[in-house]
Amino acid sequence: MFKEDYRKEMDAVKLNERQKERLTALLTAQPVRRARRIGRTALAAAVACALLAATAAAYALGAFDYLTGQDEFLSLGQTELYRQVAREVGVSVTADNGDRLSVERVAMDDTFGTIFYSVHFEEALPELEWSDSWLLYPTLTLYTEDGEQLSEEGFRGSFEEQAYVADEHTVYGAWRFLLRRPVADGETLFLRSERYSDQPSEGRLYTRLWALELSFPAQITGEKSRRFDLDGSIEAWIKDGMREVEVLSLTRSPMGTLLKLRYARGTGTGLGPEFILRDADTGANIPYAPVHTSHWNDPEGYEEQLYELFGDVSKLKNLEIVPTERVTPDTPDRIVALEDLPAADSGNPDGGYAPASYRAEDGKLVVEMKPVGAVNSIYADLGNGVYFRDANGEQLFRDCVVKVEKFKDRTDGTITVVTIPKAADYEAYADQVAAIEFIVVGYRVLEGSGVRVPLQPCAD
Amino acid sequence: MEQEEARRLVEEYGSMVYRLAYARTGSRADAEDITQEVFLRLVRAAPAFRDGEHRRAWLLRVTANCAKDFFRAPWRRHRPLEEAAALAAPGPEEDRGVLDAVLALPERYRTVVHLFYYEELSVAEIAAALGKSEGAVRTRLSRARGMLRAALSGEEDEQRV
Repeated sequence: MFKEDYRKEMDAVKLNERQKERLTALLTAQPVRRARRIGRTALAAAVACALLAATAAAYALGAFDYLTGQDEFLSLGQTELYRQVAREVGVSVTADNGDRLSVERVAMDDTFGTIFYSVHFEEALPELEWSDSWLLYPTLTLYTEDGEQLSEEGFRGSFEEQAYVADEHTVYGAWRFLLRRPVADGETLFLRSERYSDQPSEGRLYTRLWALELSFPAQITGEKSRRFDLDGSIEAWIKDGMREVEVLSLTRSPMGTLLKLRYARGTGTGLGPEFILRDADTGANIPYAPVHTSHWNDPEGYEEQLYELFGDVSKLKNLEIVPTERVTPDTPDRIVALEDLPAADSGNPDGGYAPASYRAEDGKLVVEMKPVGAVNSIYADLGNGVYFRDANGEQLFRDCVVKVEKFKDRTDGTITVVTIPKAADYEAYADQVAAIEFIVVGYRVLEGSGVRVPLQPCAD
Repeated sequence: MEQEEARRLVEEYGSMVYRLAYARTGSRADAEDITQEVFLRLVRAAPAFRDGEHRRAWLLRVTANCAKDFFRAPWRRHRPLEEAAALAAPGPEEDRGVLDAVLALPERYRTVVHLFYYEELSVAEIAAALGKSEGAVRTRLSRARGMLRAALSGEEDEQRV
């Protein structure tokens, strides 16, 4: 019934004749290109799903050193932490086609985990468009021996998966995730990984090239998480109206700090409540980002939302949470000339992000965006990234397909925006960049409507 | 590109791309932007497809990616909030209880629901299209069904999800 009704109602959603004409005209204006091969045909040949036992492997550790040498990775601000807490694991498993997945190091505390892995490809990697690059990266999920899933997906790219093609046979990656529950030191963990090609087979649109599993014992970093019960609530805007938001707890662990809020479930809650955070004693603003929403059907009709706090909050004793309201219409985009960097004005009086630095190198345009003032979660993933203008004010890369990656520095909330045009577009326009343009979302902090919440150590 | 070929592509796949984009964004204007972007990528990348199914799979995957990244996409049009809200509003004449329930789901669940129930892809195919594990897709489908049951409770739809 549901399926039929959904199909019937969705059938009514279609392009009208005017839209079709517009689209046809747009395509007709495009130059013709010769068809090119995508994917790797040899690999697309049926490679049986393999579930192989993990074998300890003696090999050179490469992923960790490679990734900690990347600027984007350094911008996470946790390199030094990982050097202290990431433990060598050194297990690998080989698929029938010769591809080898290796887990090199794992960093894990009660709350977060990061796995440093590599994939060695038996056959040389093809050059792919960035939108097809997922074909090179394995999917990863962490389980217990009983099949209980331990890893939780991040919310809206809040946990940056970083993977790099190091050479034509090697991908290095780091995968950060939230743990659904604390893991005991020594508990055996099972990492399942799958890789696909986009070639159809056996009546399916895609071919699973392999499914692998390997196991290793958890090595928890020495320091335990500390959980603080919080008792407070605010009235905050949640997409379709003001609702009560309860402030439940704060968990501080070596790899990050999590704030948990709860509110009555509505329809289409979107990004959750809009608010800013401060140290109630010092007045320092605390940048943050949503990392997970519990969307499952709570019998009492609540949703819980988890946020990761950035900056040094180790001395936080009292948290202030203050609701914000949107200012519409939106403030115009802000344009900052390169010679005026670093900029301190986010374009919104109460807070936002402003560009601090810019560089163009190795085919990438790299802009550091720093938090300014009181920053709410609207900015947590920096929306559309940034744009570029030339000395005459003309927008560059306007019609170009670009890849945009964003990486958070957890020590201060800085977001590094990496824009990667195609090589020819980079050559044509990178030298002309004279200004950074970014979108300003207007909001106002509702001073006087917030709540000061003391951190009370939890009994357990 | 030749006009006839462009017209044929748009006729054959245009609404499929548009529907998936709409299922993810809930906005006709955004869905049109995404549809244009997907077809531009098709023309610019010019992949050699084995057959129509291969082309369909490519388009669904690229649409899912474009829709997922839409809010941070550099090609997204700037549009005042009021205008965007007006464009997003569905037609009042449409009976869309089930569709509205799907659009009320959190964004990441909508794509899975649409690909499963409308495009009739298998869990494995959806996993491949979204770059997720089959387990993650099953979890999303299961949670989405639970939320849809709750959303449609009290109506005759309750037992049909």
